[in-house]
Amino acid sequence: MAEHGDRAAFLGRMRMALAGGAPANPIRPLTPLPAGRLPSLEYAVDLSDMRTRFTEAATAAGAVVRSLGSPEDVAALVTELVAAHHVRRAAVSGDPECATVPDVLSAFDVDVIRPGDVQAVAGADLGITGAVAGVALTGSVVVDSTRAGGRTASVLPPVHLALVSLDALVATPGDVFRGLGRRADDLPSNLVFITGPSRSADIELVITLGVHGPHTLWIGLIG
Amino acid sequence: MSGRQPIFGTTLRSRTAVAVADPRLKASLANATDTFAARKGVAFAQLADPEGARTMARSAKAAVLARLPELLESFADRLLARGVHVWWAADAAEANAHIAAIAASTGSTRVVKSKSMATEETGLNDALEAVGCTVTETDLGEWIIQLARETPSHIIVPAIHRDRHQIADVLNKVAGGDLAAVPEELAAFARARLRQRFLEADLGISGANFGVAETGSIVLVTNEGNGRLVTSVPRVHVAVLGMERLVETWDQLDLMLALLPRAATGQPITTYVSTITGPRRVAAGETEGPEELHVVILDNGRSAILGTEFHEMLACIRCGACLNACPVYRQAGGHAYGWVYSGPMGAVLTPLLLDSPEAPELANASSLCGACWDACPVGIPLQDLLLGLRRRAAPSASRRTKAAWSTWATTWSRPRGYRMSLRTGALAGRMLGGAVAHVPGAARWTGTRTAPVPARRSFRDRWDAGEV
Repeated sequence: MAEHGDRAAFLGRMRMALAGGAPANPIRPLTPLPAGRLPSLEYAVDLSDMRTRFTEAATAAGAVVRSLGSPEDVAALVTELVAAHHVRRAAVSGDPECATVPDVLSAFDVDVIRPGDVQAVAGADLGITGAVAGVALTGSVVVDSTRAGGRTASVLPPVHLALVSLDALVATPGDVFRGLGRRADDLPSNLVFITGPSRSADIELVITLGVHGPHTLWIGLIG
Repeated sequence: MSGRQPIFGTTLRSRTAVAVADPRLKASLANATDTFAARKGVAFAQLADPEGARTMARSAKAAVLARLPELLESFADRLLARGVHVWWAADAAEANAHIAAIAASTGSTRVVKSKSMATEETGLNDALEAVGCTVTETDLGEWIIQLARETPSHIIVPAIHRDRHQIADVLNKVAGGDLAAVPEELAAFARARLRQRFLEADLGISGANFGVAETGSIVLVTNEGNGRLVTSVPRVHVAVLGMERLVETWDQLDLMLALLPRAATGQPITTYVSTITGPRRVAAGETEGPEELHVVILDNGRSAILGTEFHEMLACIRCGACLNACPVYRQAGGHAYGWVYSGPMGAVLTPLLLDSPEAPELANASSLCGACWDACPVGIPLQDLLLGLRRRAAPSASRRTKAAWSTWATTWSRPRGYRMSLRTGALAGRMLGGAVAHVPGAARWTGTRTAPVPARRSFRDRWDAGEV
């Protein structure tokens, strides 16, 4: 931990520039902000049934969503994916939603890779993580690196399964972001919103999936 | 000022002429800008009050800029408290030297980068290669232009000036084979080749879409996932943050992130939104992520904009919406702007950041129609700033030009002079009107225009006669 370069000079230049106050544009004056924190954004989207909205939005983003009513359903989905994607090795995060997953995988002789060995995770055919939240508006799942114990199970393997509890659904991204300020000393090193599979439009704006991250995203909604 | 060499040495006019003569470029630009503009409309319709959000975002950015020194200070203190190395960089040369020092002190030579306009600005890749590092851009578009030795022509889609055949030509030079001009095949080749680079890399370098002062966090929005790999796989991560890319709180960030992807690509949210706070938390049980996190805070000419009439340009969140809306960009493309930033935001930023006698003419690459202002998700009145830059450049106008405008101003300041000049104009118009007129000294204007034929009697005369 260290500081380099000249903080005092850096900030001094800025303070000098702002000594006369920030200039105003007399033709187009600013609208005053409400006092305190900014109000939450309102959306013209029906968010009353979060489960339905989450499923629609995640599907629109290219994810495949399954409802999992019981622990047996989790096992059945994992089993299905092992067959469908010819899984020999799977990276499994430390999230509580994944607690039963290693036993299911072992029963099919799938090697289970735990967080920490990034080179091994890169060789996995499937990555399975939990999620601290699901966002109904956008169909995003939110993965916390401290809770998961690592970062790469959701990005290096070509297929990602995210298990998210129905209780963890929130309406908007702001419902997650706005809580982060209170956790200054407790934030994970990486908190990532994942919405659909990896995509690029860098060649003629044609959407191609799986450019660096997974080409397929499965979401299991538990509960 | 060091940093990337601009393509100047040519004039804006000649660069534009090259662009508009290229039919493939024209088709690519039309496709990209139309697609983005249409998607943007759909995405903004999800907001209950898009105009209200825009107004609030403009005021929120203004509030941050007014307190930027104290907010940067608390941002830096939060970073230090989370074990992050903080590097203050006054200019491009200092930023590049800092990052070279990080590479040296961590024994890093293999560098992977995710897209960062700030490091395009500083010419970081050349600086690192000069000290023996191998630098690989990993955003697909950036990798293509790195291999082609070009600069980005759009801040969101760097290789938009190339079609699939031209991209296949570039990638085939490294593939050594015959990749077909099929986007999926080209992308699959990039994935395989770049995956290896990620797993070997010592150092990952990213930009930063936002810094959040209250927790000392960095926020990155990406779609491909390369940003996540750059910031998670190598043992050292360096994030380069333009000093103005700060918000104070997470509720401000919520607002900015509702606007940025909607304005940029018409997505409600990008595939990945990464929030990064400190390096790997070993004590909390994290087993992956960089052991060291370095944040480079870059000035590079920005503090000279602060407090001036161009102050509001520092509110820019780099979405590219003004490029897609601009009638000049849509015809001329990004390379006509000569440096790393293009479109209206580039026409404002380049003359302000780059100490070059050739940069101010970029402010002329605008019709002042205000489409950029209309498109801007944070409401920057870009046309006012472009006009201001023209005004600033005006003392260098020729004596003849100044005399002509001053005569016009004097004449039209008096009713008598105004009427006389209208009568003379109408008479001249009736003599020349309808024909293609060639006026000496104004050939560029008259050469492509047909003069209108004025009415026989003016409105003013008819009004005076009680006819209207």
